[in-house]
Amino acid sequence: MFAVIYIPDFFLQAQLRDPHDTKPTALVKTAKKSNDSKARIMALNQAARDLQVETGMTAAQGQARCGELRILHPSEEAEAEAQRILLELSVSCSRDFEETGLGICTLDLMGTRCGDEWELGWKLVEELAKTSSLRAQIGFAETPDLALMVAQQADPVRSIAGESDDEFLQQLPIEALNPPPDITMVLTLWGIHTIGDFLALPQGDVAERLGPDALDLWERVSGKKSRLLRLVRPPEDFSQTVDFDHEVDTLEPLLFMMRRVLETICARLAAAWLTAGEIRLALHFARGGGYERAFRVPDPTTEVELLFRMLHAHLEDFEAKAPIITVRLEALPARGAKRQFHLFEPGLRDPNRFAETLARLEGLLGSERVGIPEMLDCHRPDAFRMRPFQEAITDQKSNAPKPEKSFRLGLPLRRFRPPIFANVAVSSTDQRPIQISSVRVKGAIADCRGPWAISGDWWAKESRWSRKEWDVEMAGGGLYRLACEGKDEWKVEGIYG
Amino acid sequence: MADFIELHARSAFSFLRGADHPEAIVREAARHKMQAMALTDRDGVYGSARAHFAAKELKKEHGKDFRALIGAEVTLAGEAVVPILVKSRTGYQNLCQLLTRGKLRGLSETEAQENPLLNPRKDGRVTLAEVEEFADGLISLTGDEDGAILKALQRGDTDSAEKSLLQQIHVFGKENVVVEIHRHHLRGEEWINRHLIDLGDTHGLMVICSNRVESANRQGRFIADAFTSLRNRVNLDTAGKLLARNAETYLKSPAQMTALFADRPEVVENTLRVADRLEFTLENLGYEFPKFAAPAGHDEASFLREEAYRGAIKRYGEITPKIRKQLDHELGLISKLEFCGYFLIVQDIVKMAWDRDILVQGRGSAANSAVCYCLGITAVDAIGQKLLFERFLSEGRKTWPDIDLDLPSGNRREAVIQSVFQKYAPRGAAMTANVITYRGRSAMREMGKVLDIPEEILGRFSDTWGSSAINDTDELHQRMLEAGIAEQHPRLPALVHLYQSVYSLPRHLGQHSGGMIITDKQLDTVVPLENATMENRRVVQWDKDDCQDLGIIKVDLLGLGMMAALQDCVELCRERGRPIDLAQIGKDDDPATYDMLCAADTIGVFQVESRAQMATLPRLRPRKFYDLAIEVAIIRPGPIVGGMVHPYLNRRSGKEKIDYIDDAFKPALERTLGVPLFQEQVLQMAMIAADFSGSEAEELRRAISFHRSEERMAKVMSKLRAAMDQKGVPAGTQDQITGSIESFALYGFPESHAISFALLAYASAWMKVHRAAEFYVALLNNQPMGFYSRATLVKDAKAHDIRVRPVDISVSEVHCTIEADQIIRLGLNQVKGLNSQTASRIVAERKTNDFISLEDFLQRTRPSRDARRVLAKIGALNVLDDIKHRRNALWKIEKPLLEPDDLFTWKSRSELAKKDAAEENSPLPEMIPFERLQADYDGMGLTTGPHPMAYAREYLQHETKMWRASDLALGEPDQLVEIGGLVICRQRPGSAKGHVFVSLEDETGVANAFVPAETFAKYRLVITREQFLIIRGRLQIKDNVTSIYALHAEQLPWKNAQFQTQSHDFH
Repeated sequence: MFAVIYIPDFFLQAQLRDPHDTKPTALVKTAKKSNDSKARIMALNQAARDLQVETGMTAAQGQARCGELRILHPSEEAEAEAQRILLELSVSCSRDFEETGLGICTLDLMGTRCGDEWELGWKLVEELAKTSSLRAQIGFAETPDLALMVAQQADPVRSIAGESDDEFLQQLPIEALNPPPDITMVLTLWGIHTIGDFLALPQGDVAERLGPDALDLWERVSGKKSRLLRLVRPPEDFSQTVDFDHEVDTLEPLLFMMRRVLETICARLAAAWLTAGEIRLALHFARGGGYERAFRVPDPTTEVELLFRMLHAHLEDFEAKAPIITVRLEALPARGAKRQFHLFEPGLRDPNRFAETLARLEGLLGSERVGIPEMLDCHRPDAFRMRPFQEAITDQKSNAPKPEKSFRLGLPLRRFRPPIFANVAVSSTDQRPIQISSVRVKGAIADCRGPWAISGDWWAKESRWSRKEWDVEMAGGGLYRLACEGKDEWKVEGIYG
Repeated sequence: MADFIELHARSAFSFLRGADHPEAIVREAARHKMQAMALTDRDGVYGSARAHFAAKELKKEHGKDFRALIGAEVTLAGEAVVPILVKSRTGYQNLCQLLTRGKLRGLSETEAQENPLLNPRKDGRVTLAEVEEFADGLISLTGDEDGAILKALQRGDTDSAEKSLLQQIHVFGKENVVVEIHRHHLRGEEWINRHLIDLGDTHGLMVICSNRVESANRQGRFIADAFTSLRNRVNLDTAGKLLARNAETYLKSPAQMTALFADRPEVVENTLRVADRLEFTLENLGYEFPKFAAPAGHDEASFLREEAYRGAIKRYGEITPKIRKQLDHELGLISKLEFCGYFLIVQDIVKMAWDRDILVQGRGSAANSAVCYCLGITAVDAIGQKLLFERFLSEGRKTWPDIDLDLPSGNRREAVIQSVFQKYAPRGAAMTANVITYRGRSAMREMGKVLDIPEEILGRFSDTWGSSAINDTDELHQRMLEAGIAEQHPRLPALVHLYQSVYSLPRHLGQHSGGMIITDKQLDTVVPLENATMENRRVVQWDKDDCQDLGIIKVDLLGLGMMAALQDCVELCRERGRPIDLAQIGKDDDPATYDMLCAADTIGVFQVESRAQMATLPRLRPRKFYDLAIEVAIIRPGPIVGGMVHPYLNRRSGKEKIDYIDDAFKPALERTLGVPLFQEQVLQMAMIAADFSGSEAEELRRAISFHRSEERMAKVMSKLRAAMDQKGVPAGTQDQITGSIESFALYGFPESHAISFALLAYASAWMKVHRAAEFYVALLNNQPMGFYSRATLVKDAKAHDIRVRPVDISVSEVHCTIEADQIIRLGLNQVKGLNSQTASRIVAERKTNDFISLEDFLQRTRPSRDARRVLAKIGALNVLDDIKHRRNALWKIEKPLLEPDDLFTWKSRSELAKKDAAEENSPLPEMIPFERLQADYDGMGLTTGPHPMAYAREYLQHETKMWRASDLALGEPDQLVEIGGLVICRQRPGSAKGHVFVSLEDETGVANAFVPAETFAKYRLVITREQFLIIRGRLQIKDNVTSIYALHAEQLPWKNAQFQTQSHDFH
């Protein structure tokens, strides 16, 4: 016997988990078909249905029917979370189950002691409602496909296992079969509205007229054919969470606990012939909030000492905002590194050591300040991003623009890093700088060239910029590059020669 | 006097390479006190005409002498761009020919592969050899970073730069190459400038400065960047270094340029020297209308006279002294104004149509001319209708006469157009362009795209607001919020700004629907030509208004669906042995025809079938032809139902006193009861009240008919007021005059147009009354046209006792046909998804032998799978012996069709019949009537059976109290009623102040609702989106016109009713 847990309007339910929320709501999605770029409603709640909003309408049509209609868009995160809950529930019932689709799990109950299917069905429905506010429908039947059809029609539990299912099937709408669109179109033209109508067609004629796909449907729905489940094996859990009895405000007890947790996780990994490819650390603070950090292990390993040193190095300079009450460690499993270096390609002698050093640096400087600087493709001088080293190791390709080749040989510019802030007096007639006052450069300006004006990102309120640059010759000697950003923010950026 | 002239500037007519209208750039240049400016659009002189007129306006209004110089940036093979300036007319002609050469050739396969962002048919490149061929009279600049010289210098390759310069010198000659330097405040440009100056000095070339302008002011950078992104198909975030580094490429004043080049004053002064050498402006275009080749022994004038008199005998039978006098008068003036050739050439085009049995009718002011009537150009008897020839041509009026020719739309019009192309081949004829500008929908979609706003939000904005012009920033802001952009969206201000800036800028060049220009010389010496999107068509780079303003004569060859329908009608009548002569039926005022018009039974009738016209007809009650001309002209839907009945109607019914504002206007306004209805009357009023000269009246005429600019209208009106002030016209009278002229501008119509259209309106109404079967068949065969869908036309036919028989493969022809006086048969052309080849094959095979079975039909006609399904679905196969009903056919056609083989081919027909009879019947149930209805709409968009509302009423009988459309006339005024039906028309005329008109069709007729603006705002989405509506409101019955003043709208609660219908919305 098979059971199907079916969550109707899954994409919507994944986001609408508040049972008291009765505002009419629709979820819209843009079809990937080239001839229909409009976002169409793909799921609705009952309140919206009551107001005659229908799936397949555009958002505007839906709002025409119901001015108050709330429009949601698919959320991958919410869907993944809801699916995770569904899988967890499935695995608690049967080891042999299939993740049939988003919001659909098919369970093979053969060999399980599930007892009465009605009882089991209600239990599953209630558990989902209680723990996650997801509304489920459960169907039981002798084949997976029939069980799915039963689930789609259940209210909320229905079983046709061991019964004569003719009457039930007769009444099911043909859509319950989810036939391919071209077959649906022909069946609609034929006036075939129910599975009963469909089954009433001679099998040979169905095959002759609609092809093998339709025949397959016909055989599956008539119970003449059952398919095998594509079984899901849940991933092993390589994480552990420790809640401290007392608030921890020093490093030592935290490290002590973390070493023990690492030992456990590494033992589990080793038992599964796996290694740790990444360690994720999560700390929860007593006053709310927390800290999360992922450590990529360049050379995946189960060596506790090495992993521990990586965490230790990072936490040495870490300052928690509040005492810690919970620590959680999770290892993302990986197979052992398999990498063949090219003949002249130098490899890191000890990638994990390198990672450990990076972790220490990030702890000291902040993660946004460690990596490989990469120029951005824009006119803004020195605009760059930091590409993580780990990314650089695993992915040698970069989309960053190559530095422009300059053919013009002039005086070299030695940049001040960071630039020196300066007060600059400008001429009232032409706004040229005439006097500089800064820690390094002071005095009157004898001559200047410029301004070189550049600006960009004018469309983005938060990042628009503009600057003017001048090359100045000081009366006392020395050629400098001067830049003014914003209204009056002057900097000496470098010295020529 | 300023000492700098900008010689390198692009306008938005460089399409995605310039950010402002040419007029704006010219006005800004004049504001900076420049005496001239050169517009150098990319690969064309698209904006030059507009720049030229802007310069003329400056002269006219401010007395400023400003020369709009001509040039273009020409793209060479290899993508290097050379800016070229025009010295002389020869130079202009050469530039036009050079551009035409590249444009007509299009891109080579390699070029197209290398430049996937270009349009291979429309973008063209020219070779250096071609430039050399056409270099005479031209000056070239060294160009910007798109040019070969700067590109080389930017690489530091000074040798290549010099080599490119030497090539340029070789092509244009040393004295015609000018080195151009820029200062855009960019680091590194000085190094390039030094090298350019050195190159100039080495080769003895003049050096000038320019700002390589892209916009009139600094703000233009935003649009320029947005256009750069669009051109490269990226958004602003990912455009990176494709974008401008700063906002310096705007039109700078001479003072700014002098300051920028203070160290090299000579490069500023040199701009004047170069400008002095550019003698050519569009003032000296050199266009000539072709001469007509008169037969031996004739000149143009004598031949025109002979043709006119020959035609007069045909038209009138006998030439009375009155006719002779009029013809002599007209011919004298035409000859004096040297327009004889023009009339003969237009007649020649008319003859081309006649030779191909194509109906043709001239309209426009030509309808005032007896000569045009006699030449067969128009069908309006100007003498009989007492039309004044002076409204068409007068001695004071110097512009060319305007003759538009209406032709049957579709293939027949194309045949005439192609004949004209052939006659003036290879480069003597082209269509005028149609400049497509950014409007609500395109502005939002494209600016939203460059700002990376989600498609969905843009779609929602376009769906709800796309068609309306939103000028007010706050309103636009609000509309964007309603479309789903968050109030705090960081890009909202940029989107609002870009939307407003791009609105009305040219987006691309299309083809005008019918404007053709011809010359017997080479047209490509007048204006560059390029390929149109349509095969075998070429367009010029200017639109029809620009052409007209430059004195280029265009003949409009317009396609009218009704002409095609009328021609078909005439042919059908002839075939059926009851021929009609279109020229004759208009001569007698037929009471039955007017009865039908008075009853507003005008679905399908030309010009008077719209919702507003139908509301006016019972009030105006036309009884003679001129009444119908007034009816055509009096298109004021807003005030009529909005409670403000048109003053003409009030005066006609005696509810309002006739008032001429001033007795002096009586001669002009008498025929329309003191209300100016026609353009000619408005001009006469201006001439009387303000002593407007012929040319000033012409200016007013153009302002009224010019949709392009409100500014133009305002200017003429202030001129009119000033003239009236001078004449001492009292302020109150002035207000009345200007008020009536301004309101006229919203709905005005020239009398001659109205009469020409009224002829067609009368002819189509007459056909509907006296040749109903032919009329409906012709209409159905020429869809889409007119106001109503085919479903509504079929329903109307049935209401007129015409039996409409369904498509049937055993009798239906390709087109709809008449089976008997009151019976028509739908043709295979009504079937969606059945292509014309299959339809023709079905008819041809049937004529060989009847189809004896489904297999016989399928084997012989081989329709596609979709075609088979649609034919079965609509019941067209039911006639076959082995088909019992539609589902039976749908079952059988799905059986795979065997390829015909030897076995089959020799199988006898009786054997086939026997075999098919033995075939089992399908297990499918017969369609119920409602399913048949849906299948009809799916397959044809219409049904010959009951209207969907008949089913809906049955289904909803306990839920609603909907009135039937036919019962509304029985109600009491102001009674609260509820109507429901299929929406066939939604209208929001510009003159109706936001009020909307909705027509709902049910099984008894059409019910009309007036939706006030505030009710529309409340139910906007329901009204615009729902296919079936229920409208509740107050019944209004006035002057036999029934409508509902809507108070509430909702969707018809009829689930599962989805029909493939079309409504006529917001046109």
